Amino acid sequence: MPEPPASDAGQGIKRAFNDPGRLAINSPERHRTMEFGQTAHSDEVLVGQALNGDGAAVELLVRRHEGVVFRFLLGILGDPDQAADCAQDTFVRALSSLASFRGDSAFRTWLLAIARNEARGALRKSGRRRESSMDDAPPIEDPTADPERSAIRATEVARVRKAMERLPEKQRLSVALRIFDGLSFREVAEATDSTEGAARVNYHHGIRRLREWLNEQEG
Amino acid sequence: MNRKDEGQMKGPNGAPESTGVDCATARDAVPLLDFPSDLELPRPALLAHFDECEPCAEELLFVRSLRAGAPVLRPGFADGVLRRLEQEASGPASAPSVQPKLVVERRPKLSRAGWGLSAAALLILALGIGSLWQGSAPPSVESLVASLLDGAEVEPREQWLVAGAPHLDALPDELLYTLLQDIDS
Repeated sequence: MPEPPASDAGQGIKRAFNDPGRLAINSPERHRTMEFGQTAHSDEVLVGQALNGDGAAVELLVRRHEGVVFRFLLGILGDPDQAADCAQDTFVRALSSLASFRGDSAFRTWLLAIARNEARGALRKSGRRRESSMDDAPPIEDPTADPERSAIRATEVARVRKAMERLPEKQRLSVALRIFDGLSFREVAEATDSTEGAARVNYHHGIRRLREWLNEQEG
Repeated sequence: MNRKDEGQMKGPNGAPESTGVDCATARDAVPLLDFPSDLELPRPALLAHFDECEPCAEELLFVRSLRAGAPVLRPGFADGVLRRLEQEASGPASAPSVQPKLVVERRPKLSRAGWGLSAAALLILALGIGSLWQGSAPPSVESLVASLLDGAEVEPREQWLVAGAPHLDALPDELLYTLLQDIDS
């Protein structure tokens, strides 16, 4: 990861947000930069740019990882609104302390570690373990689907989510991080505070149980 | 499904081995096929395996059907984050910057007891393999884990082979591999 000058390390994000020309939300210039970044830049490069005050790089980092952070938090907290709020706190905390990211791990792994801490804090604050379900979270929209098919699909989605809800947390997270966001077993292990082997077992056992449960329902 | 000739080599679970990809590797790769991830094996070889192996192809379809239910964030999330960052940046200069002591947690090094546990696990596995060679029945996974946990009462597999079960993260890779084979069978 390119190291910004020491004097810039803690100021880059602030400078990006204090410079109207760089930050103005929805400015065409910002989106042009973003489009370039989407095809060309790795997380590490974007982090370096963000530390140097590039608001477009900050936005791209958020857009690139908002899904995985939200789904990870939803798997822990169970409530879509709480997960979204916690995801916002995660990004604000991470991007405000971006200078402390040393590149020892992938940026996504670092982000998920922060998300896990935020979730723990949220659970402590609310004094509860997860109790609600993922049912309220909207599924991925398919604009081409006709209404009848959409209704069938919504039923199917609800059925899958109910089944996933039944899995223990680490199995649910291992399955979700793998199938929704394509994380490696190593990344899953780091995100769930497990070993790589345990993450693999959790994933395969979770998939097997989901298949059993969903087949039972069909039968 | 393209089920090819019946006389070819069969691997575990009746899967063909003509593609040079075994079922365990293929199933590990199932969720990554639709992402630009680094795969353990070349993508064409994996796809050829799914073309020939019905159980693995079914798992691929199943995972894709699960993916259709992926929850997504409400629109405008990123703009909300940017606005909050902007507000924080334009706050009073004297406000302390957020510098949480957040670093990626490193797994603790194995304690002496941990090393002992791992060594015990290896010994148990070695004894298990040894007993196989002598023709006697191998110890069950449950008994291996019970031995590993120094005689602690072990619940039925369906109860403890779950995430969050206190034992799973403490098990050595060799035993986890045994469990994986058990899941696949």
